[in-house]
Amino acid sequence: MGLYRLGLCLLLCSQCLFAETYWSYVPGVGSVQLTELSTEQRSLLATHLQLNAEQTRVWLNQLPDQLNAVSCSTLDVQNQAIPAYIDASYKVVSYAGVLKFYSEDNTKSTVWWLPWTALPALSQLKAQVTDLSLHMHQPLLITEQQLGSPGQLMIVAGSGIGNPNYFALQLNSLHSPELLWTLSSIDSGAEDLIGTMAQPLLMQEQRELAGLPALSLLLPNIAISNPTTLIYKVDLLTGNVQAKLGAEQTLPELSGVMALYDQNRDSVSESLLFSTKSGQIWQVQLEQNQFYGLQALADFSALKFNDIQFIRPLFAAVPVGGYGTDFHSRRSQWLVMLGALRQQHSVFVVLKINSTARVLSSDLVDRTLPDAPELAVLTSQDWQQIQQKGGWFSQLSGRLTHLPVVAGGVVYFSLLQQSLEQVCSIEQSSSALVALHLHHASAVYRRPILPLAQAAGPLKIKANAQGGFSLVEQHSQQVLVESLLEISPECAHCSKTIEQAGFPRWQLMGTYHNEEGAY
Amino acid sequence: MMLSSKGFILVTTLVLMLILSCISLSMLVQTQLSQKLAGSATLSFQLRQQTQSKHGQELRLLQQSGAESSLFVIAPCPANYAAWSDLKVICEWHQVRTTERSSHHQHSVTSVLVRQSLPEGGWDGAL
Repeated sequence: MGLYRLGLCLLLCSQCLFAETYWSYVPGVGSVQLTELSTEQRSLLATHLQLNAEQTRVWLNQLPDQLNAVSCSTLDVQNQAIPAYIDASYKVVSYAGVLKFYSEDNTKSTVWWLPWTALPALSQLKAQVTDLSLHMHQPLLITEQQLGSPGQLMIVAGSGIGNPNYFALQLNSLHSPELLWTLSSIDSGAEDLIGTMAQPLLMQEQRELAGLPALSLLLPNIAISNPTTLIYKVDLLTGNVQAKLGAEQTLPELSGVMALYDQNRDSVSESLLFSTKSGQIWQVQLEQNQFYGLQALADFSALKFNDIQFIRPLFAAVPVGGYGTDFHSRRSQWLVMLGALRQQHSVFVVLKINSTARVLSSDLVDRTLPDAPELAVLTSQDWQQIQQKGGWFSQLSGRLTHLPVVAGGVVYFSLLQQSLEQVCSIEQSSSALVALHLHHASAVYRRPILPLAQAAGPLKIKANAQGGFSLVEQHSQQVLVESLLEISPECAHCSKTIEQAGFPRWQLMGTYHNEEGAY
Repeated sequence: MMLSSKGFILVTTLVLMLILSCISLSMLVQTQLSQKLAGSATLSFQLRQQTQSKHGQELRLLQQSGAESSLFVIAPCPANYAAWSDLKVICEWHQVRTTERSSHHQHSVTSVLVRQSLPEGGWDGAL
């Protein structure tokens, strides 16, 4: 009997130890665990959910099952690792603003953060997570190096269900998340905030005085109806609105992606790229809390995109000549790389920024790989067209799960092909790594599509023992490409192995002579 | 009468001597100048060669041993055909200036080089 009691006690204790925890924030109270609410907090929750006491008790009891039902292993692939100074074994993934901190170590419990405003709308979460036409943006993690204070981690995310709001969490320990601020339409300066299903963007500005740079965030306003504000710039630590980009004209619904870049290459990022869900790309200048010079760069509405997954600029030497003797003509210019969703597939677009004319879908060359990628050929007409036109696009054979890596002029994508019947089942999905030539989207390796046994996480480039470089999957450190190739400007399909001995690489930019005096 | 003709010859002789010495002196100067002129091109070329070879050595030394250059700035990398997305790749812009002097003459060669460090890592940020 005593043994049974002991066993039961151990079982209960282990349940307590490994039980999932559900955190939220009760306004006026602070961060609370939903399973350990006081009577007063429980009544506040009941009022918020518009339920009576008994229904609230049932709701709380059903919360673990409800969240388990929402858990989506195909979305978990998009996770981000929690820095080692907090807990290296944990990863975080956002389900439309509901944050799940989980570990593959079974002895560590899952921690959920549920935004207070999302609680009444939790039933909508499953529909959001399984909607293949939507991209589920992941939160922004701001580390101790960026914050300048050791041991600190901040997470900023936007909520996609319930009342739209952005929120910032301080996560010095995984088991005591603290809400720093929220930004919603009830806050001054953000009255027209309608949609927050986006990824915030961190902005660093040099202070006049020496010291750490001032940190602020750029938050897009995702709205179906015409918003009066497109983007908010807020202070990172307080969430106070510092500046707003007003809509000068009617724009379709914004996507949740943005990117800052240094257009004039003076080491200060002052240009902001953003896009609408349909693929209109815009650029605006940002300086000392002032937005100016809003300009449309491209309109890809005809390509019928559902959502945008990412936008990134890239400075490259783009070929402008033809074959033969003209081949070496190149122009240094900014490219915009866009990852878009068309139903369950990603489309990758490379656009040459043209400040004088708006690039249209018809200015892009379709470089989608054929079903048998080994048969893909690049004719001289194709090559000439790519050089003359505004860029190219390629429909990929799956959905992008991470930012592609561009190394030595080759773009590497990690793709996931989900089953349409079981969207959230990773077992029913297949993964692949695709490598394309940056300038004409043809295969660089003998096999352009490499099937993977399991879904790849973020891709990294690492030096290998053979004196070259490898492409590795960051989480498992699995080597995906043993020896990386680098494209060469000598011919359209030329490539060579990247060698460590070639670095540091010296490039002579110019030599000039000066003579003074005379004999 | 006799006295005045003697004086005239003396004066004429002196004037002729003066003219002759002027001519010979100017010819001497001219020859020296032309010699200098002829040599200046060679000397200038020699100085130029000397500066260039010294500059070449300095560039090799900088690339091989990583010796400090006179100027060193960390700035955005130049455009590459084989581009890299990695934001962690840091480009150091070096300026190497070599000056050689001889009397009244100075020749300098200045080169701007970019040192691109070993690229490791990925692209910051999640989707």
